[in-house]
Amino acid sequence: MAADGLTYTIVDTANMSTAEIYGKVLCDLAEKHNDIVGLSADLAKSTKIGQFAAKFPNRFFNAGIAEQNMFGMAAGLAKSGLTPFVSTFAVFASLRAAEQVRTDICYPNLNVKIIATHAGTSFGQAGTTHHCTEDLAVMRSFANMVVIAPADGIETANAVIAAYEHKGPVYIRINRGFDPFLYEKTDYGFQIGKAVQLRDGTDITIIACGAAAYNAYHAAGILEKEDGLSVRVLNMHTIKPIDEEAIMKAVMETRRIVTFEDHNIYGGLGSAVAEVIVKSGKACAFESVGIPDEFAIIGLPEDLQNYYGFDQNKIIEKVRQIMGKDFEQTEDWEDEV
Amino acid sequence: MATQNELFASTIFLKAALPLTKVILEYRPKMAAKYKGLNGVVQFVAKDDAGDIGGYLQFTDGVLDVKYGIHEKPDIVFTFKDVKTMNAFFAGKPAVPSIKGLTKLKLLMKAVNLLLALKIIGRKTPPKKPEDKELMVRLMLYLLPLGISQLNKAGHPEISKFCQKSPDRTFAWSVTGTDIASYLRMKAGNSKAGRGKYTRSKPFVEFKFDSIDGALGILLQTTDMIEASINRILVIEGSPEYGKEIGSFMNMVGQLAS
Repeated sequence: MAADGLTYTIVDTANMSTAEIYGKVLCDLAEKHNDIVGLSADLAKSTKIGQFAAKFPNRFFNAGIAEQNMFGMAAGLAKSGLTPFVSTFAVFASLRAAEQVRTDICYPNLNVKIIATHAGTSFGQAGTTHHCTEDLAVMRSFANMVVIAPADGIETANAVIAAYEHKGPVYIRINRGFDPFLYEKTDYGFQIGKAVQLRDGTDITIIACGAAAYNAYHAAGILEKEDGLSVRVLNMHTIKPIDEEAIMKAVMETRRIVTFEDHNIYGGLGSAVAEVIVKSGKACAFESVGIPDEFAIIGLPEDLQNYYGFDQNKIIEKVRQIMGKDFEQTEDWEDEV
Repeated sequence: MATQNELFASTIFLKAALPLTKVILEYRPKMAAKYKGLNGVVQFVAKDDAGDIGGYLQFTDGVLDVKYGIHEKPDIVFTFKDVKTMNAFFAGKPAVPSIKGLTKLKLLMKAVNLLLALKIIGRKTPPKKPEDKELMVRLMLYLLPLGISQLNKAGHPEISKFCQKSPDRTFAWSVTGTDIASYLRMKAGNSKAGRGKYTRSKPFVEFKFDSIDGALGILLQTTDMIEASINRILVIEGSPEYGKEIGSFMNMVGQLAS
């Protein structure tokens, strides 16, 4: 990692939500780099950029509930040589302010970092208006934009630092809540555009991002132990530029690929992986799991993960289905007494 | 006629607590040796207008089985005037049954000794001996999922509603550094309590106690929950909302059994 001294472990982050970790890392980065400025649209507290605002009040700008203006301001600040970190809910960053992000920031390839919180269905109970299951599709269609969906707080720390070091616009989507930790330390070799192989395997490859990566990793362990399946798991934290090499290696070595994401199946991780496979002309059994062609229902995030098929049990079920095996061969409901 | 709550309590005693006598013999080999070759059936029955309710201990060549229901030809019968009295008896409160078969003294003494050993789950303070502490925690962690599952099967409104809505999920309990573990699997109204680790999937919520003493402090409610969380005496892995819900069901089982 190039940013010296910015290392975090699971102990540092155990009591912090993913967004809180972002807030802390941004403060640490800003201590070292005077060019960093922060912006929010009346959501500083919720998105945790408030930590930055409290520490660096002269470097923080609250645009009010005016996201389009905020991204315009960020473009201007970037044009003057500063590095703006802009935080709001994913639904506002990618949909309400889509034109400003596209035209003001991506078109001139300005150095703006967008940290979009409450992504996917992680704001479950807040309902469809606050879910964001389209942002990966929108953001990866903007030229020059780098799109990252970290798996946990540790990876968010890495992504924020890597975003600072990358020159150009970056979109990082994180969840609302306390994501379970996939990693214990930051030194596992995070690199924009390079998937992390969490487990090796030869029967099938699971490619996942965001909250689904943790579930996929643990599901693969159970599939190996219980079914003897050899499951490769790739944490595809960068959706754009996607790691074509890792995908093609999986196509050639496992011949079965299934993707899991907390996003609409149109335009997100599954689509990005499918584009690589189709372009290669190589045969591969492929399935993509995420939110189907509907607006997500309302509920607790854990329930929505189950409903939309990317919690651990549903991942196990899907892999067994693809491998031609039932989830449960016997249904025994007698208590052990 | 018994109230619904009395019936739920009897479910806990007859279908979840009484079967733990088998666990006592499994983990107390010296005690089990004294039951070698023992034969006979000891019935516990409560009179009720809607039909008598009971369970029995069946010894076959020293091997114990525990069944719910009324045996056709028991050797000894503890009869209670109503379900409430039977529940009080199993909870260790003053309750006098009428006993038939007093002449079968050896069988009677063995059954009474087992019931006295089972009283360990009703203790309000931790035992002194390490082996007693371990047995108490084991019994309690077996009782909780079994009690919740049996209440689901008995139609307990809150637990059944929760279970009906549950996709295939497992809730688990374990004590670090020991083999003490239990689980509760739920799926669309079905439930199953089991002992040991559930290996088919990672538990949706797992209550991990750091030690036997740590578990006793929490189960006996002598340790403050917030303090226990800060000091990592109890780590609840998984959804906090569901952990809270299962915690409330654990309390329900505890309250019904007291």
